[in-house]
Amino acid sequence: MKEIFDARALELANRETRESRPTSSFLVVDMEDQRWALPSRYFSTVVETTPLECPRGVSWRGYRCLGLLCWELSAYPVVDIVELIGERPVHHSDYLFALLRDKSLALRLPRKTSLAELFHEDMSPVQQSGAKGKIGDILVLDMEALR
Amino acid sequence: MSRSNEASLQQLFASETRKRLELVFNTVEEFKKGNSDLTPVKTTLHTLKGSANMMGLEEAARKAHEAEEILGSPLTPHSPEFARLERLLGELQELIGETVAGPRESAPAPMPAVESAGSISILQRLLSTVAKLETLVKATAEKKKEPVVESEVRRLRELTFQTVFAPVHQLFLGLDSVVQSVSASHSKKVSLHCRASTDQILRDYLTELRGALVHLVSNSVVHGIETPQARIERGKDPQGLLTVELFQDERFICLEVHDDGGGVNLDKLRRSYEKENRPQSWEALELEEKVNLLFETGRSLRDTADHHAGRGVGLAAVRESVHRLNGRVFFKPVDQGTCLRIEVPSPFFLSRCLIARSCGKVFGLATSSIEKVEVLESEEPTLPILGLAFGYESQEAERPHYIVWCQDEVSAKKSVRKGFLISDCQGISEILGYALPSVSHLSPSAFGVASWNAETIFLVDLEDLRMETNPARRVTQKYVPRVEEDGKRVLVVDDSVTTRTILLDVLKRNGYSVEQAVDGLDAQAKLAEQSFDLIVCDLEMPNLNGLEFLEWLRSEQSPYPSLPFVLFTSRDDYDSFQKARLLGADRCLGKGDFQEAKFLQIVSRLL
Repeated sequence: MKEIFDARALELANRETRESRPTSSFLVVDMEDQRWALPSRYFSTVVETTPLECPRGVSWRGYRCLGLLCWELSAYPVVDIVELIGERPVHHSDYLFALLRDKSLALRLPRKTSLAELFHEDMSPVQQSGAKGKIGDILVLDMEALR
Repeated sequence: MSRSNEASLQQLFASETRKRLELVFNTVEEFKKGNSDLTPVKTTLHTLKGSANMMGLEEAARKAHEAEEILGSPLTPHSPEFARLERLLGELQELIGETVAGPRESAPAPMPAVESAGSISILQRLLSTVAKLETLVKATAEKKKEPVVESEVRRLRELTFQTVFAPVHQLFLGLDSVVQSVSASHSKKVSLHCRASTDQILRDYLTELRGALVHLVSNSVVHGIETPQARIERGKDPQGLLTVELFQDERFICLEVHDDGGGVNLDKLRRSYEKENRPQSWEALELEEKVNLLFETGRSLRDTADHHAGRGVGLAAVRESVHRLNGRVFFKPVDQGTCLRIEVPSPFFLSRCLIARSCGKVFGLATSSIEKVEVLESEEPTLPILGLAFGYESQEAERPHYIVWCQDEVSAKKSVRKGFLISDCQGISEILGYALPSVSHLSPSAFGVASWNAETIFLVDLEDLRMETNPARRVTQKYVPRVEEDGKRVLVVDDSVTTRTILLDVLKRNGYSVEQAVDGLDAQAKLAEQSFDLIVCDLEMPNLNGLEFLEWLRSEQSPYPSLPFVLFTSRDDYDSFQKARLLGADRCLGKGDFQEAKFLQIVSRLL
């Protein structure tokens, strides 16, 4: 198991003093034809690993649970981001796993995920399943759906 | 007691006492500065007295008792009584110090004291290092076999476990002496039975739970179990029975102390409560609130205090200990006697497992559920493959090589042996398991997950695994994936059409998708056809009532053992709610005080 963005990286990226305008840190995920941003303050770390596959039919709050992931003495259910945004699953060869701070879930993301500072004040409303808004052409995931 | 047990007990007592005396002296210092009251000193001394009794240190127990008596009256830092208290504490420290630090050439070196708050984080760091090392070893082994490194990593893992865990029998050491001593001084006959379903316990928990246990068993003997004469008059065996049981229940370590005595004397408790002129009347209290008054400091049902009980400190000390572990203690309803249950959250546990492979997956099979493992010599078409029985749908053609036989009482009666086929068997190992997160539709036989050889594996109790050849198919049929649904799905089960209509209206208006069932049987049928995120269920219903339905829902037969369940009933009495909670209800609501906003808040939290 390998840590990609540790807690410190997520925290530093979250500083809002680098720009003259306030920014927030996001995990930006490149999907097939969309880019999604996940506020990094919700996550404790991002890891690269192979989770334990769950038998078919296992679910977490109604979403398909792909497997379980162990990190620092806690087991996290794994759900793919496409489950939350209602898209068709697309197979990627490589994945990352973003672990929620409250230890309730590991979100499976395509490998094409990076940390970025975005001007959160620019967020505009959008009518899209799973989205809270849009910053430029990037959709912002509604994290409330996971609470 | 064996020599090694005696030595373990000494080490345990030394570690416990150091911590408790440190707390006592720190609190006394803070009291002198006007920053603290002496309540923690009183409860700590009470616990220390119990431990000293267990160790046969009568003089130390007597001094702790005297100090406790002084603390029964209000003190000021400059009063002569406070000076006497300080003197007694000094003597106590000296007495105990001599015992725990006395020259013992033959005794093994004491285990270094592990800081209570830090051991879990130490374990986290150590295990993280071990996991990284294991990954490295695995990567190296693919290129060049390095058995020495592998064995060193294994050793490091074992030592890590030993640092944080202790054998569970240490929890019960000396308890029998306490029971015999207390029962002799109260002219009672009591037999003590201790059992544990786990082998190891976190050292942090051991110290606190042992202290609590001494109070609980003393309380049971003094307050719960009757004298032989009284028991004979009530048609009971003259010898009382006291049972102590430790077990793991999902994410909790549970400790139950159950006696077959006369139960809590509510009349005495009422009189004691009414003397205090509290604003809330006795009648207005729920039964649960009434019995929990016993946890308040100073509350005792005895008219006089003695060396073992009567000052109302014991249960208060238990509650403090349990709170320190972020747990809870409560009276559990039982048919006879009294049962106190302690629940403390357990982030991880140790389990002795057989490492087996099936359907391309590695499993840790609890050895407690295994009778024996046999080499498969001929085809056993009637036995299921472990991985398939667990729910995997593997197409891998793995030839089974072994049969794992397990002891199954029900099957044994029918002369049907329970066994599963596995393809490989990699030996027995002590494994650190993590509690399962809340997921639905996972086989109830899974009791945790663990990291094994840089791989995450399921821990499985074979006694809870059904012998169906492919339950995965059954589960798949019943699982209906969410396809772009707007609302979570709620099943409302009630024989009253009025209630169903009200709930349906409230839930639909708030974006939920709702189905109805008229009783438990109807609900079972609905669950066989569709999947739900929550059940709201009445209690009194024909055919299959709410509690029977809940029992089924949480049972091995149910495909949804962890589906959130809200009991919604007009019989909002304590007993019904307690029964429902014990059966696994997430929330219990009375129809009498139905408030839409509150109801929706509860539903939303559970989803």
